Amino acid sequence: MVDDFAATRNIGISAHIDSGKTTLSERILYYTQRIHAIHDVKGRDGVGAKMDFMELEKERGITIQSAATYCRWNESPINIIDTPGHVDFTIEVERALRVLDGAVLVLCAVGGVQSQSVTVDRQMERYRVPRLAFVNKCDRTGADPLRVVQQLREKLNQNAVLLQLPLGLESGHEGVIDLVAMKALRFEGEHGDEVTVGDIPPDLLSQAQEAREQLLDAASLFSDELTEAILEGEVTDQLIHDAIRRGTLALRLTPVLMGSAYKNKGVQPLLEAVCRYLPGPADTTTYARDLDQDEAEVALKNAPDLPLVMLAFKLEVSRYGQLTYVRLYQGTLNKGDTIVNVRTGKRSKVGRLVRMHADEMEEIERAAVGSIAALFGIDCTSGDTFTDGRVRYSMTSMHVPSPVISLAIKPADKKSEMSVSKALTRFTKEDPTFKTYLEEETGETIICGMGELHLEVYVERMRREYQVELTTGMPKVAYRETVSQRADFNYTHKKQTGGAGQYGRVAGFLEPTAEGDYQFVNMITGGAIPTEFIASCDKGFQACLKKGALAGVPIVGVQVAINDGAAHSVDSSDLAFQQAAIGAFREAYGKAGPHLLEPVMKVVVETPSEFQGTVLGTLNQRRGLINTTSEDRAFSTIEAEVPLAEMFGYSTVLRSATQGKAEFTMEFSRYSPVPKSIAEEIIKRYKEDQLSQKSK
Amino acid sequence: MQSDQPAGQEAMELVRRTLGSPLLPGELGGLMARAGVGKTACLTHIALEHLFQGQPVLHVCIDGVAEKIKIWYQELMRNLASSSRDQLADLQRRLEGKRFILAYLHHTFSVQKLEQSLQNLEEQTAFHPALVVVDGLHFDHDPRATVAELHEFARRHGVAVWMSIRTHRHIAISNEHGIAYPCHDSDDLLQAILSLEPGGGAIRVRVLKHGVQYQPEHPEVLLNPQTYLLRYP
Repeated sequence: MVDDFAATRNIGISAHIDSGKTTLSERILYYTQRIHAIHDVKGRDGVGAKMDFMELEKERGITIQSAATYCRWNESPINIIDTPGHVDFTIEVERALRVLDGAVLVLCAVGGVQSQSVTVDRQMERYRVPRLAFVNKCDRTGADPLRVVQQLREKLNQNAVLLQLPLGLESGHEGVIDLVAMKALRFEGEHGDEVTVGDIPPDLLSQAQEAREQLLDAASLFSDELTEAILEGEVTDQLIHDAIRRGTLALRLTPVLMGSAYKNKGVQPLLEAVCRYLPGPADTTTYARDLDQDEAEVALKNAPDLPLVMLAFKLEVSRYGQLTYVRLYQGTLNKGDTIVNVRTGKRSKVGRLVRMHADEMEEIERAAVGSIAALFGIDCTSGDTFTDGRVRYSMTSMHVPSPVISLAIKPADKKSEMSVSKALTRFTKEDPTFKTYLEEETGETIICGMGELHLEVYVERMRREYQVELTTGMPKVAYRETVSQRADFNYTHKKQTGGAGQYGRVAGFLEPTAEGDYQFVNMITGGAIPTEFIASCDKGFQACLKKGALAGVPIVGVQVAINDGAAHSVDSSDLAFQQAAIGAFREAYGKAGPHLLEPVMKVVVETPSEFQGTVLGTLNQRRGLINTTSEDRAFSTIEAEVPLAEMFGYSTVLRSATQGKAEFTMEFSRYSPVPKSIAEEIIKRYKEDQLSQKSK
Repeated sequence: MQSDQPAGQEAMELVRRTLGSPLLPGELGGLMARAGVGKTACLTHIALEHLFQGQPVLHVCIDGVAEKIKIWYQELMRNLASSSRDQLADLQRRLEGKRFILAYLHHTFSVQKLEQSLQNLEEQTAFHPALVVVDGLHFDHDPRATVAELHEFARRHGVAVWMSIRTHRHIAISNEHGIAYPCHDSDDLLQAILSLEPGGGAIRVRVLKHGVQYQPEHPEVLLNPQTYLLRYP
């Protein structure tokens, strides 16, 4: 079946944790008749929401992995990616946004624009994703959607425009007033299935008229026809819709809708708005790089007959085997087609082609341009581009942050060891921010990620999904080493132990650089080091960066320049110059003011104002640099920069300090020098570990 | 950096001589101007001058987001510090360690709340500002009472307080010293009053009061209306 291309909508649902986006997704599936019963997120009925299919998600009531699902609303095919709210899982949000054409930003009518909403919004901006806002939880005590709209304007700098007004709030929330049609919409029946359209209650009429005026003012900026119609008094609904769509697509207007997903109110108009205002594949242009034309940028065309180009944006190992989610940007994909992984050149046959519905799937024969599908048995990593072999295009790679925390894991027995290895292979393929390696000295397996919760979830998944028994060490911060001043080197590597000797002399200097982790500069003139050994020197220096002398952690921010050297016609070799470079680096490193760096996190705490002082205290005790505090009604938002090393267990501390009323998010901000006394402690511990390893 | 902008220290010296130095601990100063003329930029200049001297600053932003103030600091620092990108980042971090921004959104500001927040900061983080900048205060009801409250706050905490005061084109009230509404009846509480007057492609910084002296002589200083940086005429 070929989907209606222009009507297709690929949307994401993003928001701050606990804003109710999974509940909203669940209701969307219900109203689009993909499911026939409604379940709570926290699984009180033992079933759990459809989109949170992982056992752990059901238990914790949070969404960890985005699940793709497909539904139809009024002939419009909609692909929905349910994205996680916790910042530790942000890569999921970013990957989803990369392949989406539009998004719904869910906001809580009580909590308003919270820290994670700001992060998510920044990501949407990065990928130029037009969005709608849905102010959820209008049935909650303290709900104030108009304040949330104000926050959208102030905090997110968005041109937020109300398309609806609430028909009652808190326990009196009945529905919404549609400001385009100027009608009151109520949602009746057991699950709000019956939408009744009525007149606006007289007491809300003047407020509605005023809000409609504002809507028309905002929308008319994007449509001369609407401006004329306003002047002539002949405004039609369609003119308003067209103008709103134009503003939304240009990312210059954010339509705001509202309701309560939990109470089944306002979801159907949101679906209408998704189809009306958000772009489809036909409205967006995506660019790829042509590897046969020196990576020249090419615009992909939404044409079914052109060569296939698709991006693998998510991998999952399901119970049926490895599943690869793809988004088609050009051409058509048929079951049985042969596709080529542009990165590896490997060809694969598409055996099974499916459309996902959370953890269930529907076999399809063909996927059209603009759609999202899933394939089985394709060997690739997340972010790979596939074509049908007629072109060699590569989609721009996605922004992937480096891990900032690591944890040692130890399987209890041989059987568990095998399973851990299997699990880690799977997780690292699925999630580019999750990394793993074997610590040679200790023989421990180390997992690295974006935060405590991130790693905790993977450990838990290993236990549950792979029945692995394992013990974990204390989480470790990903420290780095760097240098603070220039230091010269002039080192000769000479060895004569019978047979061919080794000879190489390398001279130059190393110094700090802000341009990336490592830079190598060749300033050799006159062939003091033969050209064929320059790369050997570079290789030798790079080998030194893996482990610094202070604490055995990677060295970053170093530029190494070579400006002199010497070679021997017989004894010089690749190995000799690598060794010379290693010796040279060691010689200079100690003189270059080496010091430790630690990851510093941007921490945002939202707390009732009465706990402001207490929260400030908790952050200050953690070497936090408190930057700002914003007070809004009864809530304070505190922003600080805190070293990651001090943030372990902070959620427990914050909970007990604020009677569980405060919450926080954190994300990596930058690397910063470790204070001297703490650095000395870390270095001492490392040296002791080294000694004990040796004595063993 | 703009060509008409004195570099680094020179600009700071300009601020110190014209705007920064008049206030001692416990004193109150006002910066008057119409909306959009550059009060926030000018207050940030004053704050930066203190920060450059190593004095902690509490920047209070009323009905505006903290992010906006942060951007002002970054922009002005970028223009004032004639240093490399690395040095600038380092300077920013050092200065940020001595600066704290408090934002009060949606008409939530009161001097009592400010007292509470300052107390929290002093007790919990040992942050003791030498200067408090109050930007965006409303003088809709009883301007004298508002000024008096802040004057008392400055005195009690032994901090210098600079505040922005918005004037209105349509209110032509002024006192015998030429001090316009809303400070016309509270100038006795203000140790220093500056005004920003746009015209002729620049914004003139005028000292209306300093100590007991009204309209004193002072070096002429202009604010570039494009960059909001201070410059000599």
